[in-house]
Amino acid sequence: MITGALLVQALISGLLMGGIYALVALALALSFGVLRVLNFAHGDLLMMAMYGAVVLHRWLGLHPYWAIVVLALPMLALGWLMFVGLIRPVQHAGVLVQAQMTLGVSFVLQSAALMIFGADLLNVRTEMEMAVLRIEGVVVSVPLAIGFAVSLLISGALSWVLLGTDAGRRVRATAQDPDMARLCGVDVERTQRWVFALSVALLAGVAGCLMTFSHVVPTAGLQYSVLALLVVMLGGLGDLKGAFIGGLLIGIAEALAGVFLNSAVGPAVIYVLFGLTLLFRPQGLFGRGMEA
Amino acid sequence: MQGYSAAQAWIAAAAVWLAAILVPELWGMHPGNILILTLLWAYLCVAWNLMGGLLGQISFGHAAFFGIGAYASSFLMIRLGLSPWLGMLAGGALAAVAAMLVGYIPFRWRLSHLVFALFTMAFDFVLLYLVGGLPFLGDVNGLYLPVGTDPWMLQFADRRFYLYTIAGLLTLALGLSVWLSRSTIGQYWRAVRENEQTAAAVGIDLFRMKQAGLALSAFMTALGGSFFAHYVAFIDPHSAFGMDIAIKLILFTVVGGIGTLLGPVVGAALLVPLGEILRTELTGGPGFAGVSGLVYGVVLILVILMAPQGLVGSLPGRWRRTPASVSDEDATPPAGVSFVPVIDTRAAGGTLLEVEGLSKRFGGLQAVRDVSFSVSAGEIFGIIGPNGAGKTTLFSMLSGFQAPTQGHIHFAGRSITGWDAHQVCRAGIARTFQITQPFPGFTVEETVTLAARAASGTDDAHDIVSRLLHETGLWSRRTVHCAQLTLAEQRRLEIARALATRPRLLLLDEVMAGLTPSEMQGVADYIARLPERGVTVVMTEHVVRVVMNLCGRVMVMDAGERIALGTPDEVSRDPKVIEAYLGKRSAVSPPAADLAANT
Repeated sequence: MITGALLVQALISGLLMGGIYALVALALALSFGVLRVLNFAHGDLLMMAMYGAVVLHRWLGLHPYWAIVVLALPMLALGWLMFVGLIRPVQHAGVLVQAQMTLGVSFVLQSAALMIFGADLLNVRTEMEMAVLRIEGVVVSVPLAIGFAVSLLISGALSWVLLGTDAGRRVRATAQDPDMARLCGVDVERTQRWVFALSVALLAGVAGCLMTFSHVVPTAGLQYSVLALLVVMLGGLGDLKGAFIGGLLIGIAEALAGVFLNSAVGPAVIYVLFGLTLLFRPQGLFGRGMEA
Repeated sequence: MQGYSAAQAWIAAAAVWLAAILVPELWGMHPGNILILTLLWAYLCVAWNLMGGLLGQISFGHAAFFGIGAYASSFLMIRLGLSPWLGMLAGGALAAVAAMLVGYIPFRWRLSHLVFALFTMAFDFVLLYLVGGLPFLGDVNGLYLPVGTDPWMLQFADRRFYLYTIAGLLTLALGLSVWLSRSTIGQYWRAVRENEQTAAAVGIDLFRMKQAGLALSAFMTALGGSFFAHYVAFIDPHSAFGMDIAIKLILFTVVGGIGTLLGPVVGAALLVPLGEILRTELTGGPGFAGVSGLVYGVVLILVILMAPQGLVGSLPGRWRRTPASVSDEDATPPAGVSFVPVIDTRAAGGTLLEVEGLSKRFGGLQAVRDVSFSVSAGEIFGIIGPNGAGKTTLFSMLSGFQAPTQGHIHFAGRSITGWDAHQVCRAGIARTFQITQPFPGFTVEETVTLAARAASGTDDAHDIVSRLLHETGLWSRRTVHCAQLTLAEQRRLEIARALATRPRLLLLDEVMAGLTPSEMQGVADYIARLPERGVTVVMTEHVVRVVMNLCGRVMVMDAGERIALGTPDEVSRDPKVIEAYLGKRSAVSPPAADLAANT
C-alpha cells in the first residue's frame, strides 16, 4: 500500500540523495561549462575515489569523512594530469572526439578497478551506517543526511568562490567567452586546467559521503557518469544552478520510482524523465540555450 | 562521385570468407567461435558506421537496437514458434521504428550531436531496465532458447554454419555500404556530415536523411542482435542492452577509422580476437578479468592521440576513399544553357517576395522588429545597416534557417512562413552564407553538382554545373577540395552553389566582404546580369558603394528596424540613415559620397 507517510519518506530520502547527486553533477557541469568537454569518465573517477575511501579504511582505519580530506589532493593531481595528458590534446577536436577519449578513460579505469579489486561489492563498515533519526514518523538515515549537508556545504563554497573571488570571475569569464577572456588577460588554459582538476577533486567529497552508507563496484562509475550527464543535460548544459536543481529532482524521481514501480523497472524512470524533459524543453529545464 | 571503393569491399569480403572457411578447418571451432564474434562485431560496426561515418551522426545507444533484435526474434521463436530468419526481420523493423521515434526529437528540433548521442544512450538505459521488469521477456533472468538442429530455426549442429551466416551478413553490409556511399543518397549524407547548414541550403531535407540513416543502421544492428541471441541461445538484459555494447561499437570503429569502409572491419578484427585471447588464455585468476577492457581503453586513447583518423583513416589517401575522377581537359562552356529553367513570365515585374511585419526575438533581445518590404521580380534589392542591425537574422528567416517570432513571408504568391530551409530552397530561394561554409571534404565540382541535384531532384546536372563553374572562374579549380580555396574563390563558389539550385530569388549575404576592389568589381558585374536571366537578387552588404551602384532600391535597417526604403539616392539623403551610420552630430545632410566614403 502506498500511503502518505511512505511518500513523504520517499520525498525526503530522495531529496537527501539528490543533494549528493547534485554535487556530482555540479562538478561535471563546471568542467563542461569551462572546457566544453563532456567527461564520460566523471563517474569512474568518482568510483576510484570510492575505492580510495575503502582502501584508506582497510589500511589505516580512516573514517570515510577523513578520506575526503586525504583524497582531495590526489584527486586534484589526477585531474590535473588527465587534463594535461589526455584532454588538452583533443580540446579542439570536436565534442564527440572528446567524448570518445573520455569513454576510453572510463574503460581503462573500470577495467583497472576490476583487475585490482575484483567484481565484488566493497563497502566500509561504520557504526553510523544504520543510524537513523525518527522525526514525526519519518525515518532519516543519518549518513545520508550528513552527506546531504556536506554536499550542500561544498556546493555553497564553490558558488562563493565562483561569484565572490577574482579566481571565480576568471573562471566565469572563461566559461562565457574564452577568446574574450584571453583578450582580458586571463590565462585560459591555466584556468581550464585548474577547473578540470577541481572538478575531479570535488568527487573526493562525494566519495566520502557515499561510502558511509553505500558500496562500490567497478561498474558503478558508468552509472554515476550517466546519471551526472543526464542531470547536466536536464539542467541545461553548463548551467550550474540547473545542474544542482536537476540533481535534486533526479534524486526525488528515483526515490518515488522506487515506491511506485518494482525495483527492476524503477531506474528506467529517470531516463524517461530525461527524454520527456528534452521533448518539452530541448535546452534543458533552465537552459539558456547554450549550444554544445 | 566519391564513395567507398568497391575493390576494397571485394578484398575484404574475400578475406572474410577465406577466414570463415579456413579457420575451422585448420584450427577447429574454438578459434572459429572467436572468428564468429569478430565478424559479428565487424558487422555491427559497419552498420554503426553507416550512420556515424557516412552521415556523421554519432549514436551512443546502438545497444538498444541490438537488444530489440535479440529479444524480438527470441520471443517470437519461443512463444509463436516463428523462424528466427523471419523474426530477425520483424526485430529489424521494430528497431527501425524505435529508431525513428528516438531520432524524432533531436532531429526535428535540430539539437546538437551531443544531445542526440546522449538521447540514444538514455533510450538504451530505459530498455535495459524496462525489459528487466517484464516477466514475459524473462525479466532480469533472461530467456533461454531451445537448442536443436533445425536450420530453419537458426540452429546448426555444425557450428560452422553460424560462421557462414555472419560472414554473409557482413558481406551484405559491406556491399550495402559501398552501394549507398556511391548513390545520390550517400552523397547527400556526406553533405550532411560535412556541413548541415549548407546541406539544408541546397535543398537537402536534414530530418528525413537523418531519420532514414538511423532507421537503416538500427535495422541492420537488430539483425546482428538476433544472430547473437540464436548463436548463444541465451539472452538477458545486460547481454542485449548493456552499455558496453554501444561503447565497444564506437571503440572498434574509432580505432579502425570512422567514415572509412574498412575501418570498422579492421578495428574489430584487431581488437575482438585480442580481447578474447586476453580474456580466455591469460586468465590466471580474478586479476585478469578486466585486462581486455584495459587494453581496449588504452588502444582507443592511443589511437585518438596519435592517429585521430583511426588506423585505416591514417593510411595513404588511396585506402581511405577512392579519389575523385579527374578529367583535366579544359572544356569550353556549353553555350546557351539557361540555368533557370522556369522563368515565370507572369510574375516578371510583379511582386516576388512580400514580407509583412517580420519580427524575431531571442530571449530578451529583439533582433528584428516589425520589418515589412516587398521585392519585385527582376529587381536587385539591397539591405544595408550598421553591425547588429538584424540583416543576417532577417536573411536567416527568409531562407528558413530561423522561424520568425511574428510576421509573414510570401514568396511567388505562397506563404513560406515557418518553412524549413530545404523547403524554402526547393521553392526557389537560394542563399549564400556570410561566413563561407562549403563542404570541406568535397571538391568544387562535387559541391556544385550536389546543389544542382539536391534542389531539383534530377541527376542530370552536367550542363548547368559546367556553365556555372566557367562563369565563376572556378572551372580550372573544379577538382580542388573546398577547404583549400582562397577566400575570393570561396565567395564565388558560394554564388555558384546557390545558383546551381536554380533559384528565382537569390539572397546574397555580404559576398563582397574581404575581397579586393577588382575582385569586387567582377562579382558586382556578375550580379548585375542575374535579373535578365530570371534571378531576382536581395543582397546585404557592408560595402555601401557597391549596393548603391547595383541596387534599384535599398532598405536601411538599424537596431532591428527598417528606418528607410527607397532608391539609393533617396536613402542616402535620409537624415535617419545618416544618423544611424554617422551618429547624431553629423546629421547635417552630407551628400551620398560622404556616406559611401565612410563605410
